[in-house]
Amino acid sequence: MIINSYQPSSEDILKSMDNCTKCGICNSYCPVSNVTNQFPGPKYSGPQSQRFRSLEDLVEISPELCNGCGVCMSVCPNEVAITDIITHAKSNLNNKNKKISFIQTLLNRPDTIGKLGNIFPTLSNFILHNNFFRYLASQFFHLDSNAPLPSFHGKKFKKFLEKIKIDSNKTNIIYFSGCAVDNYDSEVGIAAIKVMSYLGYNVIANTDLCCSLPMLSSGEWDAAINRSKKLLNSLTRSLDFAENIISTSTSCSLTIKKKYSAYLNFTDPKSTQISQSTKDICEYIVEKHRDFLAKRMKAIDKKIFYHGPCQLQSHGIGQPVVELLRLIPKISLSLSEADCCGIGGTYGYVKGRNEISELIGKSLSEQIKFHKPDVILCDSETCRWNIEKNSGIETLHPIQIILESLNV
Amino acid sequence: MNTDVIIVGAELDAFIASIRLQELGYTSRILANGKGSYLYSSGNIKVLDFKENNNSGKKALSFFIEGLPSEHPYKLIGKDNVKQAIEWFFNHQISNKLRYKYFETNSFTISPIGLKIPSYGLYFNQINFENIYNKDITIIKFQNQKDFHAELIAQSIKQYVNTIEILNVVQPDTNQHPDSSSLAISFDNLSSPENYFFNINKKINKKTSVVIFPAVLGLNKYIEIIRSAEKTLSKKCFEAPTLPPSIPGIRLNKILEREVLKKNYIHRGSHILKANIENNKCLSVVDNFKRIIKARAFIFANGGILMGGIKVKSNGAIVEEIFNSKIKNNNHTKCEKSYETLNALQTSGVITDSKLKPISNSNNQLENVFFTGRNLSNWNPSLELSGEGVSIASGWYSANNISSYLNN
Amino acid sequence: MFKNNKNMPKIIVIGGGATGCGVARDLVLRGYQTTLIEFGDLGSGTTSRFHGMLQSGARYVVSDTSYAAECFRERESISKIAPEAVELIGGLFISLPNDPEDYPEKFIKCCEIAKIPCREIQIDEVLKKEKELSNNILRAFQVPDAIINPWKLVNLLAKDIKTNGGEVLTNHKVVSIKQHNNLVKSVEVIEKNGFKKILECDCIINASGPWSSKIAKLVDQEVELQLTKGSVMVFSHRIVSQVINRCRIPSSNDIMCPSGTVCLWGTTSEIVNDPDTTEIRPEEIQELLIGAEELFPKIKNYRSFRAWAGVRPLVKPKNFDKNIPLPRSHSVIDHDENGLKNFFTVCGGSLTTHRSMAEDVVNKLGNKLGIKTPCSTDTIPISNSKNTNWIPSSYFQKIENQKNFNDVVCECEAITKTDIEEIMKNENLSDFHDIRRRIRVGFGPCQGTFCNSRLAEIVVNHKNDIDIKKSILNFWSERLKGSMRTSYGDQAKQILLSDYIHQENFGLRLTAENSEKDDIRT
Repeated sequence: MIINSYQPSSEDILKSMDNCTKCGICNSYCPVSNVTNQFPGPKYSGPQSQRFRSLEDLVEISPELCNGCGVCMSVCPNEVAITDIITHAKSNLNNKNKKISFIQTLLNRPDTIGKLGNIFPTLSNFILHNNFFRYLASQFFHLDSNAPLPSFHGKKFKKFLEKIKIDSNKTNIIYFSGCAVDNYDSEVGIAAIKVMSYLGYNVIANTDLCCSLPMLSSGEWDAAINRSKKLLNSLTRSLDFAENIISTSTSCSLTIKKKYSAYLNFTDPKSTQISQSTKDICEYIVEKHRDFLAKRMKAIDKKIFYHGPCQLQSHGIGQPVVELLRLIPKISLSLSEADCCGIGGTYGYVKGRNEISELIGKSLSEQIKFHKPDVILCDSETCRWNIEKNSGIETLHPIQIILESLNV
Repeated sequence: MNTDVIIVGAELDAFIASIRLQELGYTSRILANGKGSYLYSSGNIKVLDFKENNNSGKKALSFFIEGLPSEHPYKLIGKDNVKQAIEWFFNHQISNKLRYKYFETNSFTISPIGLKIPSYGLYFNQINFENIYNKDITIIKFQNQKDFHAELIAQSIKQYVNTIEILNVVQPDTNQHPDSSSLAISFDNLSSPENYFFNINKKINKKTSVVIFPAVLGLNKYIEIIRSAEKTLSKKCFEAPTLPPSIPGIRLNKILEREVLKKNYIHRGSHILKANIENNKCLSVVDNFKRIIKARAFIFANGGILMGGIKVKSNGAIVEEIFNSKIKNNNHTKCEKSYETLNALQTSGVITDSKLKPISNSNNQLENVFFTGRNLSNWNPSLELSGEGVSIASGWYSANNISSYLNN
Repeated sequence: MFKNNKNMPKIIVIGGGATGCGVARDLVLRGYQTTLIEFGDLGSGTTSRFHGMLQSGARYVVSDTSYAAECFRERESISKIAPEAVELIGGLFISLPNDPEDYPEKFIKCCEIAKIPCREIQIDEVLKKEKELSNNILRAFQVPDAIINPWKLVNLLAKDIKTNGGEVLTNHKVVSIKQHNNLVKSVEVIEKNGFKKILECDCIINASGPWSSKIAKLVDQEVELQLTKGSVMVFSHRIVSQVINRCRIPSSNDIMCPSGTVCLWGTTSEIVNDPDTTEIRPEEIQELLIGAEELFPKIKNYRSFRAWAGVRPLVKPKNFDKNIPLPRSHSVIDHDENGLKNFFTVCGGSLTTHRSMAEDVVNKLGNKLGIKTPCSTDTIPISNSKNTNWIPSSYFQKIENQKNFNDVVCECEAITKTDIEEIMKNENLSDFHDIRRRIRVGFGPCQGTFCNSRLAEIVVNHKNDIDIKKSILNFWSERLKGSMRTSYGDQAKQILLSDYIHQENFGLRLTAENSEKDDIRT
């Protein structure tokens, strides 16, 4: 039974289909099936179809439309690993006929694209945000013209890292920066390191590694195996120097925490140790430094709107960002009631799927319009880019506001 | 994490306890393993069986409770506490948001197959049996809609009404969604409900004075929408339930979560695997991420056998695995007929004292642990139709007990 | 072949299971005027409560080699004439450490004699394919076991019978049989609505399985049967990809047999007196689980959503010795030996050999009547399908291809509204159980929790004169009966959820009175 296991293997995942009582609660909360008839819903594509998949090879289209948000899994009262079952069905390890489209292959390699783009960032940004290029990209590569693309930031994050001094009196902590911080959102990484330093840590940044979540979500599992092994090896070595690994992306940290065992069967002791040492940054700060911070946060004169990304629910950690923000005196904070902003990682970048993302994100957009915030916070990168594009309001990672409030 | 009370489970009792604790000045954290069983209730708040308005309205509940066996949860909690809890619920702003109207006895509404079903209070424009006697009715069925049994309802209520027609109408969204939640969202997205109802008006039988819609008229804006319907159609408009999980339950879920999240936290997708006990006190619980969560008191509101709080083993043993509590096992394996098996399973549960504290199999009693709702024994929610009543009463009562405990 | 020839004798076949349908089909193909009478729905007796196998015969190859050879021949025939009811998944015979060591060698030798293909497989190859099997297994042998869908089989047979001019009367109870001068003359039947009919005949073939004694008594004849009840547990998905048998003398708790989307484990074995026995005692479930655990160590963690019991008849020979196990092969009794000239009983055997049983009795009948037409049931296919086998996921694949997910009524078994309406129209059905048996609505793990009311909504749309609430309650109560004994783990949650839906939410009431059913056999 999946519940007795801290690191369920892929066998546990698939067997959890038996737990389903067909209650339909997952369908009621699925952001995708709630806006389109093309996706039959998590109950159907997950435990229901799995009973037939175990009989013979099927030709299916419905799993492809799942955006991997994981909401179904977090609302299921019977511990069915619904999202994981559906993602298994997408895997090219089982379906030899599975084709990964060109655009998906590109989207699955954000670190490579980031590195290339950052050679000449100004030029790359110009091309990326140029309407004509977007039109061409839409016609030939099926990159949706509405997809929220970030900007390359040159080697800003790396340059910042070079200036950090190591203090041997401080405790070490590993920061897994991820593709977004490495290549696009340097400010997030910089804020994270500044806050952790303030809290008394030597931050050792593991850069240029990809958690391989886009590959796992889209089914390119053969490539994902190598990539994640690379990451795990690097983090294993780092754990010689530190006890914990923190991340500023709820998607990446979830992948490391649970998805390597659930999808790729990495249940060996080393992988398990990494999975259990990895935390989301706000999760970590709340657990260890909440009381310390409570006396040191200063008021911020901004109306804040926080959207907890869908992946956050699968972490089972509650709302650590909200706990931290509530330490800020006189905070003006409103909370998103939307389960998903729609972008689904790389899901909404593909032509044809962006419409679904738009429909899903409607409820969130309406809430933002209602609250009229000065700044929006969200702890996952593609969600941030998506929200900022749709609302026109500056969207930051919560750690950036925490930094601001600490006035460091 | 500085929380006073940990509440394990996602049942109605879990939310009631958290909200009541907040009123009494205590913080709590709900560790929710999915959503609760009240989602299957179609928005009905079932408190006291089919009892009609006898023995003068004000005393119906007292009479009912007096007639119950002494081990029944209502009796353990005490008649006055139960009444206070129910009144508290209906006077709380959560009920006000949904405009629950109650009369201190049962109202009767229509079930998804048209049978008469009691509810202690009815939400805004929930169909009341009194509304249909001798009237001319139109039941609206949306084209392509699944899980709304208009024909079954019509067949059942035929005998009470004057005339009845079923009208098939086009949905507001061209997508023609089959399931309730997408339909509800499409109603929320309607920029002009009046126009939509205006078009329906042309098709409704002129004689009709009561229009019954499936309960999908919006997730967030249904009060607006149904008012708009009444205004445009110039007829009384009501909602009748679809197959569960139906929208009225989801509306209640949203309101409950919003209320809790104002000051407290909900860990979604969280499963508790064990508890740490010392000197007859529970110190902390451990979740499926190996997180140790400390608190001063604990409430287990995780739904009994139905929702996983209590497990049935293959040899017929019924166990509560966290504290190894004493169970009332009614030997469902020995029953001859299925209705006996059901009753035996339903009435099995954790044995508690009058404060709702469990006793372990080794006859220890923990001082700071409480069980609520379907975890309790000696009651059958489906025969008595008292599911939400016991939830509300036990949730409220355990919160009060914890408050007394923590005050000492 | 004489079709609809009014000169041919009128034969009445009593019993609409696999045997009876097989007999009736054989008769019509040889030109007889044939009427088949069945008490309930086709196959609702022992046929639907069997173990799922169209066996290769290897199970009985040591204890009854000639019967095993017959089984294998039949397995080949049936898979050719009714491929769409058959799935050729193969089978394994597995030796465990505590099994008799000399059995495998005998097994191999007897398979050779019976001409049943059998080869030994390496253990690690087996464990790679069947991950649920215990690591302790010693030896494994591959044989050509197959599985069969019993309802599909009997319905195909019935269709063929009707196409060839025969009559199939279901839901007809035999009240009395008139005889005169040592000859049976007519059968009186009564329908569910109380309507009585007299059917004249030249001859009767009694193929009523465990009820053969009761029917024979109607003409003062003795048919002594040994009735053995066997219970089967249903596991909610295909734990194994082929039939798994214990490699030992056939006994209880021997077989794990995939069937459609589920897996059947069985059976227990207990002598009973009443052919209508369907109850399962909780001890039987524990016995089954302990037996299954030897092959499948994690079986107690899996979900079993149903259990059923069936009564298997074997004819007791004249010099019946309690200590010798009865032979499994069938018996044909020509009651002329006891003074009744035109009454035959065919009984025993198994579903696998139903066709050869039919051939045997119809041959004997023909010899008596001087009609020499040979049997053609093993060569003429039952249906005109394109020879595709039973594909359990076919309904599901159809939905994926047509993308009509929204039409789905029974989610567990992927049955759509269109499928149901079609079956209702083609066969004029409105009884939920009749629909269920043909199209598997309510067969899956949720046991009708949600599809029950959806089915009701469809039925009431077509026929609004039936007491639909009674039908809903009846369907639910019947589904519960089967789930009762396996209500542990996830299934306990499921039946409480179905209780919530039907009683707490819908407002129905299950009581002692309305959970009693008129017809026990469904």
